[in-house]
Amino acid sequence: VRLAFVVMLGLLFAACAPARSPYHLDYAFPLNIELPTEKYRLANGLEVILHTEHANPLVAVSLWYHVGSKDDPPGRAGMAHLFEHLMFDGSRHVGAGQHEALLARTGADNVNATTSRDRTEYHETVPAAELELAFWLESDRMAFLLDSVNQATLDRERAVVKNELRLRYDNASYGRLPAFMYSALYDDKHSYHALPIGDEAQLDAVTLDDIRAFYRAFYVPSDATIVLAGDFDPAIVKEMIEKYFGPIAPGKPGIVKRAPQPSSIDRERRLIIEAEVERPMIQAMWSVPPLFAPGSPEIALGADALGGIVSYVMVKQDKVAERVSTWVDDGEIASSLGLTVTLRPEVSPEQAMSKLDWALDHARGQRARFDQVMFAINRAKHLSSLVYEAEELESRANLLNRYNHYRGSPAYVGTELTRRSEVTPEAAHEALVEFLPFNRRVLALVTPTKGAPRAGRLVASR
Amino acid sequence: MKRAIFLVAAVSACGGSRFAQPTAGTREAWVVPAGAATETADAPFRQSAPEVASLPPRELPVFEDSRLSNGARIITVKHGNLPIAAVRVVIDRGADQAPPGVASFVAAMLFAGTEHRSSIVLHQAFNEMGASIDSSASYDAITLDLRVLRANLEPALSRVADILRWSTFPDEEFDRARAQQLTRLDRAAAAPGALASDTLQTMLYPESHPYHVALAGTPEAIRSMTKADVVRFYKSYFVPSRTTFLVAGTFDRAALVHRLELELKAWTGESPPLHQVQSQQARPERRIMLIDRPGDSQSNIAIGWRGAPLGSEEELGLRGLGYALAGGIHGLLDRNMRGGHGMTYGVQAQLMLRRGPGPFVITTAVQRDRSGDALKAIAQELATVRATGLDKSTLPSANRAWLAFETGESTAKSMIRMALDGESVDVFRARFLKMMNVPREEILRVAREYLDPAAMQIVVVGDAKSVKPQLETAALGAVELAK
Repeated sequence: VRLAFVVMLGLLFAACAPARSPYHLDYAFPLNIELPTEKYRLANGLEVILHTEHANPLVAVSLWYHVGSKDDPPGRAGMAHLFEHLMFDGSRHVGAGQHEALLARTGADNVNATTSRDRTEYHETVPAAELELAFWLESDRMAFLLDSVNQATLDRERAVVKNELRLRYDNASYGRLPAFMYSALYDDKHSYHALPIGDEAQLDAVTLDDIRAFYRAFYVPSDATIVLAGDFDPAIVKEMIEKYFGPIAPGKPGIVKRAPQPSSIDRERRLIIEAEVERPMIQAMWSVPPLFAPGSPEIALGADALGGIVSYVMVKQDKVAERVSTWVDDGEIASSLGLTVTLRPEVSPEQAMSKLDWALDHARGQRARFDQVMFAINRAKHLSSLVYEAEELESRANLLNRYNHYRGSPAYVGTELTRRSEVTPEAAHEALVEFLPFNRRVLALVTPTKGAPRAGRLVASR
Repeated sequence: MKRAIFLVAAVSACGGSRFAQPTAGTREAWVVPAGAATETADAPFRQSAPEVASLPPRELPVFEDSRLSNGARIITVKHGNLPIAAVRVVIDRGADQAPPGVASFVAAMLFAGTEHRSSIVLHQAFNEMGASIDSSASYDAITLDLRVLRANLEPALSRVADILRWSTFPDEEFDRARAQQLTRLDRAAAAPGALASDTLQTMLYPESHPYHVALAGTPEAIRSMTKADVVRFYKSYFVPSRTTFLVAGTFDRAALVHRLELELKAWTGESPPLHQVQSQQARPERRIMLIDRPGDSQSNIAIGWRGAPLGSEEELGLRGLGYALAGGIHGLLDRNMRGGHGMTYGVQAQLMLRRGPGPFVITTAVQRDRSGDALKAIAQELATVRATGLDKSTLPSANRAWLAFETGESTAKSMIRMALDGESVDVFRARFLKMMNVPREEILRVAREYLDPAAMQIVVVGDAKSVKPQLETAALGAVELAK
């Protein structure tokens, strides 16, 4: 024990200088992949980002509206996502169901959309020769959506969204945990308080007028970015973009929330949850720096190391848990780090809590436990996963949009690779110590209970 | 404890937070000038969709096919511009040759250690190379998937070769894998969608058939499984003549073949005679099984028939039918149940591809009070399709098939057919081209032949109190209630 303490102190002092990991890997890494782009704006403010890749006769279209559930109006949680569904029900010149039908006929795929807290993205991968169809469809719903929105389409899409809510959350084991956790970590004044999916009551409250106001405020060209990745001739495509998107009116943009907004949590919150599930569970969450902000890559790698340590203590050593996982939910105004411990059936969450705290203390206190080799290996995994992410065109287009949204420039892949490669175990450890204090966390303790909903019910919160 | 607190204090004393710099800006806002237009003017070119362009003809990728001196096959495709490669190793036999759960267990333990490397050493090596690895079992095969940076392809393959030849299935790892497999089965039993699909399989195939039991096996089978079962499967089927390497990406083929030759030239072995999977069996009578989950807000529905085997004439027709019903982005069932009535978030239909007659399955989750309506809607769409066939707008476009070759990974995966029963490149190419243009009449024929309402098996997992009366009103037959 004494020896370990000396080693720890030694590392501690080393960490005060910007040290590099002494461990270098034997294998090669392509730290120089480039995704060259051309970026410009149309006169109405629409951002265009072009990236050519001629390996396949396909083009991926990724259209981001920089509005997400963080911009849901008060009392209308779930609005941005519900709105996304309405974008597939036709517009002035596109009949109901025609968006998907026309694209399907050309052999397009990946026709879908997602809504996160920060943005709403629409995408399709089309045969290169069919790109104009994608422009026709996307420009029509950007300019003329409201012509086809009515009470019937709103009611139907609301029903579909409620079924999505049931499928993913209300009818799934542990399904309500995310809603409980996020609303405890981010108070009701914080834009991340509610999940993007919203809840039944607030979805029911959405009116046609809400939909119209939301569209006019946020679905404007100046708050959208279209990225094309694939096999096309930029000169021809620029003309087409001007033809379809250039005439769209700039409108009167609403105010999209962008400034960092840390969680206001100033103590430990403990949620006691009952659920009809096989295994007890502990979940912990902290608010951490926004994506790409200082500390963000350190937290991403630190989360892996933390998961390794907690898993070692609780699964291998103490044998109270079956599985430990960590994740980082990246966001524009805050990110969240989560830790899930699936316990063995006979272990109570209260008993296991002391083991978890011991493991967390251990991870925070003893930097000697941050095995340098393991750390370098995890870092290698983080670096290569970014290269794989750039392979599929749709994923690549989305990556460029992500860089543009969060960094203001699509040309960030090289910087991100460099930043990730320069994270040292010491820096990752410091990030954990700084951002994962015991007194600013939310804990959920889930006890298996016969007769409770599978998704979980909150019986106490302190 | 105290010591830890001291350390924390010491760390934060190191000159404050290193992360407290101001946040660099995100995307810059654009200011709309005062008086800008708020309504977009309409234009003639917006009135109808642009003409569908005619696509230039495409060639299938060039598959280079050869064998190592020990008989293992290697098929490669040059693909893409990124410095990466995707490898899929296929062992041409799976769960249809083994007691329940054994093949999945073998797949789950492929990275558990070899004569030369422990599990930790293997995982570290792959991670260190920036490789992502995965393994899985199907009824037909065991697959090992590898994605790796080009520069590290050869050392990664040398680890793969080690796994293929020298896996040891250490006791401690075996016990761990067993515990994990049991947890997975528990989780599947608690997930209503998986429960519905697994139950459907038991209704479609008799107990003597390998497809009766889910791939992951049953808790009883996993508890009674021994290491000898796992080793027996490994020794029997992990032999050169049953092994194919499918590789797509940017790499040097000669170096790749050379490395595999070097690693595997002394690898030999033959597998025992195969159990033949029965394909001709009497169709089951229609059954409706309701599994009670009190309080569920949705009902998970799985409907199925026995379909046609991989490689048969009917396979292509049934795949086209699955696409038209609910396999693509605009299927008939999707249009009806989601687009028309909003009763579900989604519905899927597909032929499960297997060497024997795999099931043709429709699955969905609908809100509880629409369970009966959902069954009626499905029955009605099927009746229409069987009566009148499909119109052109529901058929998959030929172009769609090319997406199989978009990435190295999808290319390697879509080549798997060649690794089963030694299918040649020519046969693979011919079938691929045929798949792009399945005639409508063929789809109508298989719909009539296979999707027989009298043989339809239905499983509903949901709140019986609410759902049972609805199913009875739907009048599809007697409802059996299971707990």
